[in-house]
Amino acid sequence: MRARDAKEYDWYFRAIFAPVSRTVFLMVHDRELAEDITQEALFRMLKHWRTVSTYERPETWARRVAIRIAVRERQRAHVRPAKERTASRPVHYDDLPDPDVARAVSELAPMQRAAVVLFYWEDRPVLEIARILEVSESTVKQHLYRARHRLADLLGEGVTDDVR
Amino acid sequence: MSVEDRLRHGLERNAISFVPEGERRLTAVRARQRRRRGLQASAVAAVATVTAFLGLGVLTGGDPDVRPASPAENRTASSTAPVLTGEYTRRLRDAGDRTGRWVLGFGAEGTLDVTAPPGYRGVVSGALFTTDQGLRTNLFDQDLCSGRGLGTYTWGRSGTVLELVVVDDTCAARVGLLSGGSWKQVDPRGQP
Repeated sequence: MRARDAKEYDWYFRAIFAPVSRTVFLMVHDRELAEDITQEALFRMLKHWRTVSTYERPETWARRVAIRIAVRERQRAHVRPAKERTASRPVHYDDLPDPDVARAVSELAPMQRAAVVLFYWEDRPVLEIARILEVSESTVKQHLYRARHRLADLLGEGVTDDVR
Repeated sequence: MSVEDRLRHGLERNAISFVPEGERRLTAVRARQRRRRGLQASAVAAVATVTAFLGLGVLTGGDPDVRPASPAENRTASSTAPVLTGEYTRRLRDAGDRTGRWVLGFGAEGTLDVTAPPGYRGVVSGALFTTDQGLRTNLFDQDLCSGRGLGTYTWGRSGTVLELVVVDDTCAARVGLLSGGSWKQVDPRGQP
């Protein structure tokens, strides 16, 4: 990698790392794991830098990879045997400013979590979420609909329809 | 409160409470890349050794004019330090919670460190890439400029005054802060 490319990559790394880590963190609720996943996505970006750097928005590529890794990680965690799950790092929800929201989101299925975080935190439109998660727009709407009703139950709040 | 508002508010608070350690992770990625290259180089060297040992080079009629690049030839051009470094400040007036003294710190590695006025409640995040011609930043991309992409600017310095001129930026808040007025260099000994 030429010095100019390396500098360009470093810039993207610094620009992307914090925002992507935060999004992943809202899905996995583990700071170390969120950084690990984002680091992995950005390492893959470095491996493919020659191609990715020609894209109009390389950061979108890295964000998509990180979110997909996070979803897969949650799906794997979901099917892990109970003993193995209890042996893994405990999540300290009470350390968060809004532990109730974090706990409620953690009750959702992995794809629902991703859809909720991308929609309500990143403010992404449904079409973009569908592209990131590699599903149809109607599937995203379905995830959001179900997630919203489940979260309303868990948080004891009302529901309005605001899906674009 | 609706569940949507509760979610937006709660997710934002939880996200902001997390401050990732980007520099440590960048160092780790670079180290992993070096290890990967080292392994690739070892594999290539091993294949070359085996090939030489078996005499395949002679059997396949290798071209004597083709020689491996020397380390000197593989060396990349050394990077030049960003021209824009140091701290610059500007005071915003009548700008809601953005009113007050802002400080832009241009780091040696091309990073941008932004200090907001005490009353500002948003998320200050930003990265910068400076060249001789200009700079590019994603400042406020998790808050005021969410979904607006990057902003590019040219810059010019006259004595202790820095002027940033927008080239391409769809985020009005970022344009207003960066190019809405002059930035004055902070005296390293104290106030500007």
